[in-house]
Amino acid sequence: MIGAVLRTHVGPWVSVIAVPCYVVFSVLGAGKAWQHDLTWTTTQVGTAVFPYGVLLAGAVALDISRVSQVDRRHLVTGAARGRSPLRLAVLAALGPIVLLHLVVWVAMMAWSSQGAHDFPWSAAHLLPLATQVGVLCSVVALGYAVGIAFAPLVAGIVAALVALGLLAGYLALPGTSLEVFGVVGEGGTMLGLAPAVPYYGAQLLLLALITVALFAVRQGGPGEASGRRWRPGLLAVAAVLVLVVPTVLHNASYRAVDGRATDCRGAQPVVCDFAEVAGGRARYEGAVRRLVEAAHDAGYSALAPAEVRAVAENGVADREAGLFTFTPDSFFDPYAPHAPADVASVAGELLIPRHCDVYVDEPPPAYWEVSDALLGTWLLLVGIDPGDAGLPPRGKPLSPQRTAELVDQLERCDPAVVGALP
Amino acid sequence: MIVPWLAVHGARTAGVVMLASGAGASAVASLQLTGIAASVFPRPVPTVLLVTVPLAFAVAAGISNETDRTLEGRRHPRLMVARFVWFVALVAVAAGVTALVAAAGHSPVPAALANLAWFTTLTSAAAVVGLVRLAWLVPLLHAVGAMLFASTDGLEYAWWAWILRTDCGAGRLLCCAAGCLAAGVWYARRGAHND
Repeated sequence: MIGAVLRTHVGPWVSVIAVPCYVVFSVLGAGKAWQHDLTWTTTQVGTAVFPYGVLLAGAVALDISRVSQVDRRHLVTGAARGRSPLRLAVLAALGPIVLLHLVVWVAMMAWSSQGAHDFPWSAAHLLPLATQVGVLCSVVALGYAVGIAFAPLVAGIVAALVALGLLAGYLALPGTSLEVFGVVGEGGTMLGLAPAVPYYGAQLLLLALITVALFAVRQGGPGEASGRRWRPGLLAVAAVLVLVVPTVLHNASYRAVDGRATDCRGAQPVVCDFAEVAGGRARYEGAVRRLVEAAHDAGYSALAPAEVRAVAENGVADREAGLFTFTPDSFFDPYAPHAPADVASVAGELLIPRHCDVYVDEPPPAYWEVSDALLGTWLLLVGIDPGDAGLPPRGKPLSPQRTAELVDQLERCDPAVVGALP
Repeated sequence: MIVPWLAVHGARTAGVVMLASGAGASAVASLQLTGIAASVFPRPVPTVLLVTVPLAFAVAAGISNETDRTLEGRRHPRLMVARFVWFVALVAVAAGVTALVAAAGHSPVPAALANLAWFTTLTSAAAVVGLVRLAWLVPLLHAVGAMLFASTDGLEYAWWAWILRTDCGAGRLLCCAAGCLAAGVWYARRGAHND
């Protein structure tokens, strides 16, 4: 029977197209910078769902539309053998693709976890994976409903375009009700973060509702002119979803889990990063030590912290972070994920007062004056012309005393410098 | 004469698809899909250029029919001329819809027309070989692939993602039109039956 299904259905073959999608988008995507970041790895697997999900919806719609024509079932399914041709078409498309998705996830997680230790694992980390499978189910359900409702000639393209609208719309318009079809994360590192259970729980619930509602579309009986039967409750469910989704999914999808990095190395300064990225320290650690040692040798103790520490990113503020912190994607360039960070960008990151909500409101001009002055001073101490880093020209550095005053203002989140808190 | 011709071809389907595509695309003509991450959506995607995929499919649906099999292989001059004229008429209507939508969205009309011609080449070829139901597949793959890989460095388009470029010279337009006409000639000689 498997041979007959493969000969007569398009849906199962989408799994073949999906293989290169996983290789190109998931495995090789983002320059493989997702390695050693297990939360990011899970979301990275989902990026492949976008390109082949469009095809999956169209293929399922085409199959369903063909087998739902009663007079043609014997042509496309071989012997029926008591099996529902509609169910068979759905399972033939959904089963292989879900299996493939899980296999890719296991393989990428195994690859990503090599050398990692101290990963704060919890069952919540499975939620993004579950939502990806949920999106696959809803895409197949979409194809099913469109296949029931449209003739074979147009069912494929209608379902494919609707799926494209949902998935591309989600990518283009994050923060809308289309968020329910989200299969990828923020597109960057998620070290120090864990999936927020309320967010993903709501997304899973909504996906389940959408899937069930779409699968509830039934073929009409022989006497019904339309050939299909819509259940009145579906419209009500759809209306409720449209109203509910934006309110449920507006919360952050990730929360900080112990935003403090625990893998601390060296001295003067001690550099602490997340344990998962042991191999990634080489990109920035040399620049950090060069900056701090230059400040220390020149007597600028305010720019020579005893500790430099990574904190969680993606909008999760760490009020205890203070200055001289960096986020996992501070030095991440998607087009050069393994390139060493330059000294100027490292210095700039370390001088961002992440604990001050400086990015919540537009900071006053004084912030940029203080920031440029401190950054220019620090670069001069290591022998770099601030002009080369795109900063205002500066002939000589600030005095150590003035530098200490400005650093203290940033440490205290002085409203005159960073603006009033919201 | 024209009524039987329309009756055995997917004229109604083509009309409905073109109408729906035109109306839907007009509503979002000025919208751009901007993307959220460099690794997923490297460049904004003008949606007006994507509407040419269903319009090209409409042309393929319009030329396909379920009775042409009996005429397969026949190359009577009048039949071939009729097919070619029908193909050109469908393309002309699709081009008109494309131009209207592009103009409504303040998008470059020549680039949209070149895309229509290219996608029509692909969909018509699929229809001629009897795969009209899947005629959308290759154009959609090209469009989605270009959306995802439009740029390798965030600045320049890859050469094969030219369908997203808004600048369109005469050379590109002529090449795409030539491909479209070639597909039309192929259809005129072979027909397009739909199983």
